[in-house]
This record gives sequence, structure tokens and C-alpha cells, in this order.
Amino acid sequence: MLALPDEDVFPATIRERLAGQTVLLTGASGFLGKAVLGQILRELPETEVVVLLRGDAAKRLSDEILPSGPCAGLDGSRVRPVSGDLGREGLQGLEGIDVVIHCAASVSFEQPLDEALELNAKGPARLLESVRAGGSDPYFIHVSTAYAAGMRTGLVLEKPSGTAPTEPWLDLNAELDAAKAWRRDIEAESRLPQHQHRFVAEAHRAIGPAGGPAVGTRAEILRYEWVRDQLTERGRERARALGWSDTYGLSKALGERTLITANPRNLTIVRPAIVESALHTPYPGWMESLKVADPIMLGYGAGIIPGRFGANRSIRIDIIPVDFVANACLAAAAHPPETPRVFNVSTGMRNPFTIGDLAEVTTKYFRERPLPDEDGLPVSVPDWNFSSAGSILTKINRANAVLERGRTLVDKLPIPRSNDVELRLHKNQRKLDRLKRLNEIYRPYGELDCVFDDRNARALLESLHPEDRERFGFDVDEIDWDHYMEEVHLPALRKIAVPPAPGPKKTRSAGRRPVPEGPPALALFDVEGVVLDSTVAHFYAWLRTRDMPELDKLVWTAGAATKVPSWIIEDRRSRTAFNRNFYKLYKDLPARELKRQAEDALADFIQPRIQNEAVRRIREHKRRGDRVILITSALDFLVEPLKHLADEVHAAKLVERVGRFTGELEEPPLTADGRASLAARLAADHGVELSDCHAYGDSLADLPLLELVGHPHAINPDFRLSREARRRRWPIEAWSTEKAAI
Amino acid sequence: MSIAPTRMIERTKRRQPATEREACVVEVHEHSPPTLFHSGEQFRLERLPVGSRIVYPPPPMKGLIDVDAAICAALDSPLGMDPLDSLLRPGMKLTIAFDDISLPLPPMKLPDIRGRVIEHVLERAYRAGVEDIHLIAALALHRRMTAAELKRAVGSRIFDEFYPDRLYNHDAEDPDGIVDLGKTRHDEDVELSKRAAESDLLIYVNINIVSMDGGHKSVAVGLGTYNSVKAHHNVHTMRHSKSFMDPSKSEMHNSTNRQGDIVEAAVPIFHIETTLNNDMFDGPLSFLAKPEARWTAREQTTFAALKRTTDRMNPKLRRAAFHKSTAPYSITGVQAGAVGPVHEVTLEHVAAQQAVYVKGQADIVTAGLPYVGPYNVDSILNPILVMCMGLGYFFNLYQGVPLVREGGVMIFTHPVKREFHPVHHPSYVDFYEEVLSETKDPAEIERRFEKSYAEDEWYRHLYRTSHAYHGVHPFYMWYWGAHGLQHLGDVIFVGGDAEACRRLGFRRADTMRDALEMAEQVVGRDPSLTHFHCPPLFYAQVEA
Repeated sequence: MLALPDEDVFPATIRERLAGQTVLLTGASGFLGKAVLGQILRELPETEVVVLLRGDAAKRLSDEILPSGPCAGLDGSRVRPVSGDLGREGLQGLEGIDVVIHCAASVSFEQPLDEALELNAKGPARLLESVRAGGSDPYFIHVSTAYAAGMRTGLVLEKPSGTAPTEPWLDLNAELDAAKAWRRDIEAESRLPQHQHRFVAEAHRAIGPAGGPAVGTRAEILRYEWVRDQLTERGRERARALGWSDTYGLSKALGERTLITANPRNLTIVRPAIVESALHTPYPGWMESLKVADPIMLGYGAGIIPGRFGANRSIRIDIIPVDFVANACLAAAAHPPETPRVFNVSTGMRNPFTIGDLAEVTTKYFRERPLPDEDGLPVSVPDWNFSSAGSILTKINRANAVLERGRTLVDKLPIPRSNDVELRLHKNQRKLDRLKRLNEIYRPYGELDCVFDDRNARALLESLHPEDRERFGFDVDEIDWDHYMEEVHLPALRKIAVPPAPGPKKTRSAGRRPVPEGPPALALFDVEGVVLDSTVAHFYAWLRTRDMPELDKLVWTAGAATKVPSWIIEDRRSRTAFNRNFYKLYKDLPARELKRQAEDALADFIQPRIQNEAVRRIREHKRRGDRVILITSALDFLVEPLKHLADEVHAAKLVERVGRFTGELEEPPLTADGRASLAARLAADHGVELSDCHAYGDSLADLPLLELVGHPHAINPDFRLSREARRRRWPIEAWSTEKAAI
Repeated sequence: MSIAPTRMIERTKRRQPATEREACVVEVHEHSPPTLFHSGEQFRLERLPVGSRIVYPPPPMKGLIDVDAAICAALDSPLGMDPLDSLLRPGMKLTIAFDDISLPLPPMKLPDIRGRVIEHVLERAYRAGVEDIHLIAALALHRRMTAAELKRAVGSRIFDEFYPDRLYNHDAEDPDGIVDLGKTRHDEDVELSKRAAESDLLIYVNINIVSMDGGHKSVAVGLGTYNSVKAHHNVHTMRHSKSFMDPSKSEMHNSTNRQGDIVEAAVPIFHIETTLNNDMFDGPLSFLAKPEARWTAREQTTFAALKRTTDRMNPKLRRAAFHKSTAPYSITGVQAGAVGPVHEVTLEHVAAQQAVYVKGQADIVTAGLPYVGPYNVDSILNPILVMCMGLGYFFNLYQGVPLVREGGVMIFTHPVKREFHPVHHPSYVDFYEEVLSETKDPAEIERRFEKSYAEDEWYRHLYRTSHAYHGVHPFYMWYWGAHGLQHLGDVIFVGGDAEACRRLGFRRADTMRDALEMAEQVVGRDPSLTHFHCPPLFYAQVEA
């Protein structure tokens, strides 16, 4: 039996070393920051903590951070929140700091270069300056990334950026200036006609009938997205040109360099590899959102990457549990070095886990416990094959081109069931976009054939007090990959990605939807498609054919049918233009004769096409005191009977001259923004708030109206409106007529 | 003085026709053929358990040979009134009201008896020099008849002459066309068509097919309004009409009689009632009225072909085909005169054709619901009408006590599809979606919802200008079944749509065997079973 050595043989514990010190923690709302804060609160009761947070720091601390996994149930009274933004100069209130643990960073792989540089490259030095301005010269622990070393092969030593041989010389300010100049250039370029036309055309395609302002807004959103994409793309190109895989790695490397230049009293750079869910603390599998490697695993489990992932099987994917990194940070905090020191916190060296292993274990896991797909059915997981990134991109681009052509075609041809086709194309496009993005981002990582040396980290671990080795352990040898992936990480991933299984539910909803609450206001109903299952063309056809003999009717219908496609195309472009053109058909028709015929419209045309849910809803609104207003592009004399249904009917009127229609409208057609402004005027007239009003619409031409009121409802929306409605979380309902029975 | 009409001569002979119909009640034994069940626009053959009773309708009576002569005789020698000729004088205001499309079922082959009677009446009116004559379809809160339907009812000669100015549909919601006649001693409102109330003589031409119709109900209800109809079309009255096919024990008839007295005080009514036999199936399908055991080989083949065809047919075509069919009814009696005496004779005629004596109530009663009821001529028997058909009509086709014991089960065959006619039954759709999803209790429905439907502006507009039933009509359909709902332990629809049956508050089964199994859970093992083999239409005179 071994005798326990004397206490003084051992070094002091981390708790003793950090007792009475004040630690400044940045990025406490992030993944690693929370883990570090949790460890401090749990294991270091004599250490004070200052957290630097954006926005209202006290509120965020008590609402967001303290209740989260690592800090839950711990006493947070030792934490002092300070508000401040690292992306800007002039941080205040950082006095009496002994140790800085700098976890804050932007970790997105798709960030414009200027934003990434501002935070990741300038941030660390700026933080140090601020703390120094507060009157203390702290020991600085900078959390960087293993990938700050750039795209290398072989062993990556634990040396700060800029000290290894053949590394490029970098000028942060020059890069930042250039990146800002890009932004100006691209902003300007995006406003050039050739691009503007593209955005407007695309916006027109998406929400043309919703009218001018809506198209303008959409085009502007598209422009903004394009600018961002371009900036990201340029940033990535620049980073790759310099030898980094993306702006993230590059900005982190620059951060290390500027920090060293700022010359802190003591400096440790902690370079974790791919940080994933916790192995031990706060509990195995703690993770709050998807991390770097997770989209791939999930995408694979969800069947999106069917054997199309560009990577090399034998490459080590360097995953490290978050609690190991947090512990390494705290161990480093307790052991300030004389000269700047770098730790690679990684597993590739001592306990390698390759992409091949990952594929194997993920396949096994998701085959045994498949994810549900969109319909809730299990995804059958394909074999995970690897091929070169180039060939995959070619394939994706080819598929993209086919899809694009399909969408253009559907857009131009008024084919039946085009809504379904469009929806399917859209879904495929989304899948493809996701796949393309994944490949784009992760391509360099799949080909990054290097091993991170972790000798420094190992030495630190071995110098710890045995008790600390228990409490602050980061011995990567103890990770059993099969166990970690199958029992810890993938279950955690699944918990985030898959909503919890619902409990037993009643098989049918009892009764009707509850009556809307709130003060009485206006209830605005579109007529075509909402109250009636018909269009202005149906009205016209009915009116013209009702007195015809069967044979004439057939001939007339066949003649009219040839015009239908052009009407549909026109209507997709602009409802207003369509209405104007369509009503030209009434030119020279006898007004009195048509009006007489319209007297039969109720039983012959309107009643069979009425959607009874609309009648019920109108009655419901009337009962609660709303003023019900019907808005229609149909002619006034045709919808005359509907006056008995609503309080007001706003319909189109044709100009009459000497007993005949001229085919012109008395007022501009009531569509798109026209409807919205009518609603606004009516609300003002009746002294009610628009936010209390209800509106019911079925197409994009109602979008401005629906956006205006507080309670929009999409009824039987077409594909394009339903997309907008889903995006805005509007209720979508399916109403029907009773016509099918006769 | 009056001469007794032809049929009255035989009155004494027909006092108790029901008891002489032992052959109409047949027991099912091991070798009985399967039993025919109507099921909407389809047919089913079901094997009923051995020992079940089947109540068949009596065979059709022989009709009058010379209908015109019978009409003349009735007009010339009315009961309790002077002959029609003596009531007509020049310059008088004459209104002729007639039953609407809800009678008879299915529609009779041309010529329609209404038109024939009206022809005779008009002839006499013209002869007497009457010029101010209006014809009104007494449709109460039913849908307006279309021009074609009016033409069919009164004949093209009259139609061409009177339509549309002097031949029109009654409008119970016309503020200018209604007059308030006061209240009965039970505080029931009496409102009537203004034209009818202000006439010098009101002639009513009726077709009597069930014992519920006719009498004072014709004028007081047919030309009444929502206010006057709601006096008796309510849950309380319906629950106390046991049954409304037995006017002597019907609270509803007591109420209409009181209203009728007020109407008679305001305007003299010359009431003409006609009765039909039960010859409903024409030509090759006439075997459908016969007991299955009497079907010949040829008729069995016809049935097999009919069933195959209807089962496979496109539902819309099938519905159109069924609704095109008409019945070769014969007229069994024409009576005219004062409302009371005329109706008494009419009821005897109806009893002579329809009454079947049945001894003892059964635990379970089965019946097949046909495709047409009074409210879906040329239309759709929607779920609410199905309920009314089963629990309103079929359940109530009794005198004495119900055919099914209290707490017993009725099993119907009908597909109970959720289908509504958009023009005829708009308020039914909303009743189904809005009211039945909340409650099925007639009293609660009456209290919470009736008023808002009855006074709804949109329904009122549709009733007045389109061809829609009044907004309150679905409520009456539901009240019609109130007595049945109270009396029965359970209602099961064989072959009914699951969703619709649940909405109605009933149960459904796929086969008759399952339904019987389910019914046994309510009434106990080895229950007694009676099958009510209707149509053709008849009623059971049940003795407990």
C-alpha cells in the first residue's frame, strides 16, 4: 500500500491560488463562458467574478446566464455584471481586475471580414487597454482557436500566431481598412442598375401582386442579403489567400498577434479545437445550441448528406468537450507563466478521432435511433461516403441549375397544380442550399490534415494538485470516443434538434376556435377566394353564358379558355393591371341588361360558391360588435346581395355611357396597397385601432392589408402567400364551399 | 245542406282497419330471406335475428276512378259549409293557397292533384265572376319554389296565366305582406299572410300524406311567420306531442288548432284536402313495396342489378337519378268544407291506408332511411335532415305508444354524409358547424342559438330572394327529434360516416351485426327487435 505523500509536497490548489482574486470573464453568455463561470461558482468560492456583457448586463446575468445549465442552483452573488461592448472603444468600470479570461468572440464561419476583425482581432487588445485604464495590470488568458494556426499539415506546435516559420506577415489595420472599403464598394455596386434589376425581378416574382411598396421592401432585403453574401465570400477568399480556412481563423490569429504586441503582464493563449458538449460538468451532454461540427452530424442524421461529403476519411476531427476547455482555462488562470504561453486543448495528438470514426459512430447511432423527418417518420440513414469537395460542388451546382430552370418554367407557365410543384421545388432548393453551404464552410476542415501538439497543456495538467486533477481535469486520454459520441454528445444533439415527444393528446379538437378577444374594431374580408370561391373571371363567364344554349356555352367557354393562361400570368405580375385589362371585356356590353341578369346571381352563382366558414366568421364578428367590411374587385351590381351579409361592401364600378359599359373603371382597382390604405382610412373614420382589426385574405394582393392589421388571417393561401404567412406566423386556415355535393 | 262525399259512404266499414292487418307483421324465421333496408340512395340487404318482427306497410288501396267527379262532388257538397258556388260572388277578393313542394314524397306523376283541384276552383270562380284571384304557395319557412316547381304543382295553364304577379310564394319575412291577427288564449302569436287574411274567401288546397299534416296546420302554419310558428315549433311542445302523427295526443296540433280558430274568425276558409294511397314505386321497381319473401326470381334479379348499379354509380349522377323519380300515386279521397269536419274524414282515409296494428313495444327498432324527406326535394338529405328523418319522422310514425320501448335503441341504415346543398340549406351548414359542435341538447340549442339564426339578416335575405330554407329551419329539424332523443337509450347508424355521426351525437357501425351487438350493451342480451319496413309510408298503431 502506498503511503500518501505529505501535503506540502504538493503544489497549492487552484482554489487557494485564486482565492481573493478578481476574475474578469468576457463571453459569459456564450457556450464556453458559461462553463467557465459555472466552474468558478462551483469550485472557487473565494474568487470574485466580473462579467462583461453587452446590453443590460444585470438583467442578462440574472435572466439568461445564472439560470442556465452550468450555473443553475449556484450562488451568483459573487458575480458583478458590467455593461459594455468589446466591438467599440471606451469600456468603463473595469477596476481591480487580477485575471482576465477572454472567451468573447464571434464564432461564425460566415462573417464579413470587417466585423470579424473588429471583434476577434481588435477586441483582446482593446479589452486589455480598458482593464489597464481601470488601474490594474492583469494576467490575461486569451481563448483563441486551434485553427488560428491556419491551414497546415503535420504537427501544429503550441506557439502564438506569427512566431512559426513561413507565416505571412499581417497588418491588422490594412486588412480592416480594406474590408471596410469592400463594404463601401459592394454597397455601391449593389445599387447599380444591373443588380437592382435582378433584385426587383426576384422580388416581383416572389410577391409581385402585393404591390409597389412590398416589392420595394423585398428587393431591399434581397440587396442586403446579397451584400452580406458578397462580403462573406470576399472575406473567405482573403482568409484563404493568406492561408486560413475562413475569417474566423484569420481574425483569431490577428487577435493573438495584437495581444502579444500589447504586452500584457502575463499571457496564456488557450487554443481549443472543436468545442462540443460537456463530458462531466455540469452534466454529461450539456450543450445549449448547435456547435461547429454539429450541422454535419445532424445533416447526416437527417439524410441531407447522402454520401456527398467532401472530406478525407483519415483526417482527425479534433473534438474537445467544453468542460475540458473551461478547466484548462481555470488551471491556466491559477498558473501564470513568465513568458507568453500557448496551450492547444485538443485530442488529436493523444486520443485521435478521425472523420472515418465519426462517420461510423454517427451512422450507427442514427441507424439505431433515427431522427424524424418533416412528416415525423424515421429517416433511413444512407452510407456516409466521402469524395473530393470539387466533384461535390460540381454536382450541387448542376442540380441547382436544373432547379432554377424548373422554377423559372413554373413561374412562366400557368400549369395546373402549380402551387404543389412550386412547393416541391422550393423544398428541394432549400435542401440543396443547406448542403451547398455545409460543403462550402466545412471543405477546408475536411482536408485539414494536421495534428495539434498539446505538450504544454499536458505539462500543466501534470503539475496540478491531485485534487485539482479531479476537479479541473482535462486529461483527454480518459475520453472513450464511442462512449462520448453515443452516450453523451449525439443524445445531447438529438435533444436540441428534435422536439420532445408530445404526451397523449385528444384525437380531435373540441368545439370551435375561441372567439377573438379585444375591443370591437373592423373585420375586413377579401371576397374572391375568402367569402366566395371564385374570381372576377368566374363572374364574367357566368354572366355571359347564363342565357346561352348549351352548345354556344361550350364554344364560348373554349374561346375564353385560350385566354386564361395570359390572364394568370398577368395576375401574377400585378393584380391591378390584370383588373384594368380584364374589365375591358365589358366594353360595349349593355348595362341594364347585365344588371337585370345579375339579379339571379345569388342562387345561381353566389350561394354555390360561398365558403360557409366566412359567413360564420362574419356573424361572429358582428356579434362582438365589429364592423364587417367586404372588399372585392368584382363589379358592384354582381355582389349586390352581399350587402345583406356585411355592413359595407367596397366593389368596383364600371363607367356607363349611353346605357353601355365603356370597359373602364370609375376608380382605380382596389388591390394590394389600395386595400391597405382603404383599411387605414376606414379605421380612422370609425375611430378604431388598426391593431384591433381583423383581415382575411387569400393571395399576395392582400398582403399589405394583412400586414397592416393586428389580426391577419390567411385563408386558402396560394403557395406564395402561405410562405409569407408562415414566415410571419399568421394563422392559416382552409375553408371550403359546399359545392362538391351538387 | 250537404251531400256526403263518395268516400264517406264507406266510413262505417273502415272504422278499425289497422287491427285487420295481421299479415303486415311478419316474424323472421330460419328460412326468411334477408330484409331490405333503404340507405339513402343505396340499398342494403340485412339478415335480422330469428324471432325479429318485420312490420310491412299495407298494400296500396285502389284509387278513385274519376278524380274530377270526386273533386266536383266535394266542392258541390262540402262538409259543414255551403257549396263553393254559393260562396263566390263578383268583385270578391279570393286567395287560393296550396301545399308546397314538401308534399307528396316523392313528387307525384303529372297531373298534380293540386293543379287539378285548383282548375275546378278557378272554373267556378270565373263562372261566378270573381276577378281578384291570387295563388300562394303556402310554404311557411320552407324554401321558395322555383318557377318550374310552381308550374309543375299547378299545371302550365294556370301558371302561364297567373305567374308571377298573382301566383307566388308566401313570404313570411315580408314586413308589408304580413298581418298580426292577435293572440290565442294561450298567448300564442297569430300572424298571417296579409293577402290571405284580407281576402273574402281563402281556399286551401292540401295533399295529405301523413296524419300530421292538414287541418288547421295548413293555413296557420303554411301562411304563418316565424313568430306564429315558434308558438308550437319548440322543444317543449315537441316533447309533449306523443306523437305528432296522432293529432289527438299532439300538443302541436292543439296549438295550431287554437291559432286556426283565430284565423277562421278573421277569414272564412274553404278547406280542400286530398289523400293519396301509398303506391310509391313505379313500374319495375314496384316490388320494393312487397315483402322480400314474395319477390319473384325476376324481381330478385332486378334488385341485384339495381343494387350493383347504385353502389357503383357516381354519387352525383345517382342523386340526380333518384330525385328524378316520381310516384304513381292514386287519389283515395277528396274532401272539402270547414276545416274541422274535413280533416276528421281525411284522417280516417289516411288511417285506412296507413295504419298497422302492432302489439307490444320492442327493445330495438330498425329502419332504413330513404333518400328523400319533406325538406330535400331535388336537394340533399344532409346530416341534420337525416336526424329529423330518423328521430322526427320514423320514430314518430306511431299512434298509442312508440314502437320502441323507453330506453330502447333505434338502428338506422344511412350513409350520413357531411353534404349540404349550398343554395337550399345554408343555415344548416352553420348549424352543423357552429351549434352541434357545442351541444346536442335541444333545449340548450333553443335557448342559446335559435334567436340569432332566426333573425339573421343574411339568412332572411336568402330565404326571401333565393331558394333557401329560413335560418331557423334547422332548429325545427332538431326539435322534431327532441321527443325521440328523450325516449331512446341510443341511436346507431349502420354505414354512417364516423365524423358526421359523432357530430350528431349518435353512434355508428359498419354492419348490422355490429350495431345489434352495440345495442345489446344498452338494452341487454337477447333483445326483442322490430323492423319498421318503410317506405312506402305507413304508421304503427302500437299497444303496449
